[in-house]
Amino acid sequence: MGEERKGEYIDEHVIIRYGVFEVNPAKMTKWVRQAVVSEEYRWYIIRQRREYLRWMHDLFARKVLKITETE
Amino acid sequence: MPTAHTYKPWYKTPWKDDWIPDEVAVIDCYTTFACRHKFCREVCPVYQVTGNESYTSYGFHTALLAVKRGYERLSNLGDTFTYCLQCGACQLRCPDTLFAGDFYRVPKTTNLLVTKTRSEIIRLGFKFKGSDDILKAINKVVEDFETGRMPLVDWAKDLDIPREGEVILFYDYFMATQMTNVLRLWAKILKTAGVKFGIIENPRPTLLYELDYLGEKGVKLVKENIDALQKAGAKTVVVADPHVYVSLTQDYPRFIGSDLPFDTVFITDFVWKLIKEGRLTPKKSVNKKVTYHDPCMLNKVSGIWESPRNILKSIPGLQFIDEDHVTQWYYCCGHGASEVGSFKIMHEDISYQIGLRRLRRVVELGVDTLVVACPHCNQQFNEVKLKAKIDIEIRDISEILAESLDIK
Amino acid sequence: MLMSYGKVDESVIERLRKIVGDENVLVAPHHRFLRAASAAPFPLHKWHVHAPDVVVLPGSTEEVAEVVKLANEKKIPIVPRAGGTGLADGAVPLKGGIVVDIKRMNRILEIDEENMCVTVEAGINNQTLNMELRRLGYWWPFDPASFPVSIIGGNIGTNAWSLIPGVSGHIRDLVRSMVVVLPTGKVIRVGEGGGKKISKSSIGYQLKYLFIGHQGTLGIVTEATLEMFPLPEVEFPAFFGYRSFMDAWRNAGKMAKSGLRTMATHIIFDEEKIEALRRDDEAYIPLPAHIKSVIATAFYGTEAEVKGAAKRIMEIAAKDGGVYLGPELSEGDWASRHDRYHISFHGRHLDGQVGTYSWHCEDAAVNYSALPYVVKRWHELVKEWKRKYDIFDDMGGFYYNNNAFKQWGDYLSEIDVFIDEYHLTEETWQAWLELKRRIAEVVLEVGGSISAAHGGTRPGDVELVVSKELDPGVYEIMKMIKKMLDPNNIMNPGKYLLDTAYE
Repeated sequence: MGEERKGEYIDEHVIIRYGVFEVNPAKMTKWVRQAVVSEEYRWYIIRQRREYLRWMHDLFARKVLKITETE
Repeated sequence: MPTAHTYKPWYKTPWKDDWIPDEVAVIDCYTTFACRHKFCREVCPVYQVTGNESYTSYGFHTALLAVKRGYERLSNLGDTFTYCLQCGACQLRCPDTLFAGDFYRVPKTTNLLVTKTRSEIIRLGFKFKGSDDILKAINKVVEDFETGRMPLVDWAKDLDIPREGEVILFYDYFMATQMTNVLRLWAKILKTAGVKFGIIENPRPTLLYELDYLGEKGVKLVKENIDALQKAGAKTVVVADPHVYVSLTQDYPRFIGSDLPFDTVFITDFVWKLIKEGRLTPKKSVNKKVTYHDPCMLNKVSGIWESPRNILKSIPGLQFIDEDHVTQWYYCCGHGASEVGSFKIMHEDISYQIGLRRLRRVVELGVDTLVVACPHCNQQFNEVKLKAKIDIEIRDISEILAESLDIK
Repeated sequence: MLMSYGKVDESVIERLRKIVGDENVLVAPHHRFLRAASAAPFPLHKWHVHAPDVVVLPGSTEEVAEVVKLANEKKIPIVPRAGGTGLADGAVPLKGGIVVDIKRMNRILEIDEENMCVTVEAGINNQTLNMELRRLGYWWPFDPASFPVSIIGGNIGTNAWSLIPGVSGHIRDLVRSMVVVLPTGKVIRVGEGGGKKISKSSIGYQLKYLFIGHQGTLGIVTEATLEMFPLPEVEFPAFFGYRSFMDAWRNAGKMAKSGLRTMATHIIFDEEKIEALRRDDEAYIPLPAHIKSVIATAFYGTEAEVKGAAKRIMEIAAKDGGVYLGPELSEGDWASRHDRYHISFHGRHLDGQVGTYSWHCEDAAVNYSALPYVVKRWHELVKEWKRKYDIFDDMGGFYYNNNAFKQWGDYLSEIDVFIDEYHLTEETWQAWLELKRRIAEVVLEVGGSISAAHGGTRPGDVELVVSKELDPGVYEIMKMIKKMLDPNNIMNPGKYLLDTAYE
């Protein structure tokens, strides 16, 4: 089960797949094994993380100053 | 078609009372212990009520590590593992998922760890608090289904819905017997939008996270539902019950070892698209002051939080006081993921406390109505509000939309 | 002198049940083993050595006092536990006994908007408190790396540290008064003089500070009245890239003296840290190769003040070739500051394979002038250990502003040594302790302090703390105070080697 894992090699440690970085799977064969993670689940994680980061900013201040506003 | 799911091979390997033979499972437990920062703690509704961190993802994984290291036995863990609603907050919040799940592909899967541990304890012949009653409840549902006398399509008697279609509105015994008004409203809303859809005659119980207790029979129920949907011609399966939605998108792939042969869409995603396309136009003013409760199975587990809010924002006259869906990772109605209400069977008091906390926040917002999108949240909040004497209306989102579309 | 402690037998368990309730006394092994470790590297191969004999979850100051009185009567060790997220093993039992887990006591008792303070039970978490205050437009401005997970009682017990001291100081600057259960079971309120909500008084000895950082050896805090700030109008994080650590260090010196009052912090990421981040952090993987070091800055305050500060910091960074790394990296990395480090998969073996490494950092307080030497020596040491024993990884270092309400002085200097606890043996555990000792010795060479934030109560640290870092006269006074307040040596015994006070 699982989808095709074609990725583009960046360096010994990292690959890129569908525009998203991932650990080089060859480096997870000995001590820690990867789970099967569907492409949809991967995007679910990325979306949730972005939302969490937005929420964390909001906890500390009313707004984040944009760099353009400082010029 | 691919759904958002994750799968670990050790779900299938059998455990022993004093030994977890699968090293991959143990590494999963160790890497949770290794964190020791317990992001899973504050976000856990059970921890919020009990203050006991044994009842967290960290607690559960570490307890199993203790079994592996020879300090504990599985049979001793049953009662501790009853303290989990399987709401999905911890496995999402864990940095191994939230910050690294896409990079390392070893997300936290606590809901399934709890399912696995409970079902292994039962399989090995042990019990835990409430296990007898849970098994009885699950077996009763399956038996009732098998009698063929469950009123699974009675709700649609007068609605003239075919038993086939490329779009199938799918549900199981729970909504068919306990939330028929919501099913009827969604069906009418779809008809109003001109959507051609069907239903199937005998939807099998989906029993999220608890099919594992049934062994081979559980697998059979999964396959039969998929077969029936395929036979009916389903290309898109629309689901109104978030628990059934998670069953199809996450549980079913792990049982059959592959993706499903159709797309699965949650009702609010489907209906919001219709509103955007102009096939549905909420016109009538609904003069209520509302807030929305994100169902755990939808928000935390499936990552669906936008379409219900978009629908509410499109209703004229509605005053919608929103609470951030990330803040709602910390909330829960208290019912838990189980269709038969296993958490309530095991911990009625904690379930009530969790729901009470949630309702108190609603009251603080000064609204008159709490909008829900899950039949279990619906029932749970109605029970809690009665017991706590809280004066608030509980309305399913279909009711608000139907009112604005002038559908009765 | 060998302290002979009483046993936690059935009669003791019965009495504990009567004090806190049946369901709040935990005896099963998994409940106890869960509360054996802190977040510091743990000798998993001898887990049972640190498991307590019983765990209790009290619900009030009175219950805590009763438990402590019972422990005195029976001469049973007590180990207070808040979050267990500390990094100095304060919450790790050394002699078994009763773990007093205070997290049931997690309510907000009062929010005083006129006098700008909030009174809480000590079992509340920093982020949870802030989620409540946020609704009202207020801020509990204490921001440790453990913000989403650490508990006020533990923050106080460890004299904890904040990532944003430039605007709001550390925990010791943010507690007005607190309720403490002393090791005899007596309950006191200690603060500024006798005022519950006073921020500075000249009455009496400054005993409040005695109970901040004692690592649970002088009592158990059950309630605290804390500072409350208005929620900042704006936040502005800005990260800059440099061609070398030395360039960044030079620039940090200028940033430190900038006089920008809304500056919460500046943090140097050294070259090994950037190398490690290029391995798994999506923001750093694509960084151009000539960026070898980074300074992270963050500002909180009114929009008018922060706008001016933001312009100024851009000018200062440019003076040593600092390149602004953009809003996406700056904002994303800043918001991730509590989370990214606790992932279980950052570490690599010598062959590049992802291992079962537990994240860990050694922290020290080092003056600005001594930083380059310390950084150099530390990396030499960790790399040597990594070559010798393939259970360590050098994940680089962070050097954080350590100074309350300013940016100059010293740095919380942190080297992230990852350690594969799952495969620890007694030999490799001892090797780890030796590495810790050597890391600490470098700090003492330059007149720093072995720990800026975590504490000095772990093996590998504590021997040096009491024999080399602290003035002998100071340690003498510590022993006298310990013996005076805790005559039976039951409150977290063994920490800071204070057993020697009873010889």
